[in-house]
Amino acid sequence: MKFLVVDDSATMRRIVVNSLNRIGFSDCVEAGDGAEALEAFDASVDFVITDWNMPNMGGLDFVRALRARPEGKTVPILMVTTRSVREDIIQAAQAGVNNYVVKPFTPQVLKEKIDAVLEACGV
Amino acid sequence: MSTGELHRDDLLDESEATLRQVSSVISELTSEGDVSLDDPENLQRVLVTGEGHRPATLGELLHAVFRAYQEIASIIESLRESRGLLEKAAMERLHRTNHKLREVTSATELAATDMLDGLDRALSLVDRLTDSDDGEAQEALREELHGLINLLQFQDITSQQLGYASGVLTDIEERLLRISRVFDLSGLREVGVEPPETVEIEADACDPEASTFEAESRQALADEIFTP
Repeated sequence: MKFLVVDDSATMRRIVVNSLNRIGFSDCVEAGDGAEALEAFDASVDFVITDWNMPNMGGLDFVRALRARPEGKTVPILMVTTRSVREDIIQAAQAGVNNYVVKPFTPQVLKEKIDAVLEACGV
Repeated sequence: MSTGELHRDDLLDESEATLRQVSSVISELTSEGDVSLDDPENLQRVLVTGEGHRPATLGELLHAVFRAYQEIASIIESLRESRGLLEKAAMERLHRTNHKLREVTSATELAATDMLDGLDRALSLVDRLTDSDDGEAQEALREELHGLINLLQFQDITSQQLGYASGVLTDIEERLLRISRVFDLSGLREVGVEPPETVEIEADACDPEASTFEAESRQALADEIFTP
C-alpha cells in the first residue's frame, strides 16, 4: 500500500513515515505542502496522510482540491494536525477527510485511525 | 516615567492652562461685550474689527491665542523629536525578537534532524545485534528509540507556536510603520531607521492554538465527531 505523507515539517514527515514503517507500511512518498502533494498524487497512491497548517496550500484546501479530482474522490484521507477546535474538526470532515489525528500522537493512535479508515473504505 | 514623557506632560499641562485662560477671556468678552460671541460670525467680526468690545480685552484674547499657538507648536515639535527615537527603539527590538524567534525554530529543526539521524543509526545498530542472546532487551531498546523519535513531535508544535508569535510581531511592526506614515517619516529618517521589510505571514501556515498538552482529550473530541 502506497502512502502520501504531506507536512511542511521535515521532522514530522520523518516521524509519520517512521510510524508507518513500524506498522508495516514501507512504501511512502512525501510532500512539503498541499500544492506539492497535488503534483505528487496519482492513481498509485492508496492512502493520504496530511497536515492542516502549511504554507502555499494548506491541508484543507488540498483535501478539497483532491476530492474535486476524479482519481482523488475516494482515496482514504487521514488528517494529522495540531488543530483541535470543534469547528475545525467539523470543517475537515465536511471537506472530505475520513478520520482525524491530533498532534502529538502516539503510533498506536495512528495505527488505530488508519485501520478504521481502511475498514470504513472497504480496503 | 521617562524624561521625555515628563517633558511632554509638562507641555500638555501648560497648554491646558493656556487654553483655559483663552476660554476664560472669551467668557469674559461674552459677558461684558455688547455682542454675543457664541455666534461664530460675531466672534470673527470681533477678532477682525474689535467691534462691540473694549480693545484692551481683545488684545488679551489675541495674546492668549498666540500663547496657545506657541504651546501647541512646542508640543508638536516635541512629539516629532521623540517619535523617531521611540519608533527606532520599538522597531529594532521587534526586529531582533522576530529574528531570534526564527533562529530558535531553525535551531530546533536542525537539532531534531540530527537527533532523528542519530536515532536511525542507533536502530540500525540494534538490528545488527538481533543474533545476540538477549532479544528481549533488544526489543525494549528498539521500543525506547522509537519512543524518542515520536517525542520529537514537540519540534513541529513549538515551531507553529513561534511562527504565530513571529507573525504577531511582524503585524505590530507594520502597524507602527503605518502610524509613522500618518505623521511623516522625517523622524525615522533623522534617526537612521529604515522601515521594516514587509514579511508576508500566511495565516494558514501555523496554528496559534498548537499545544503539546492534553492531546488525549483533544483526540477524544475528534473521535466523537468522526465516530459514526
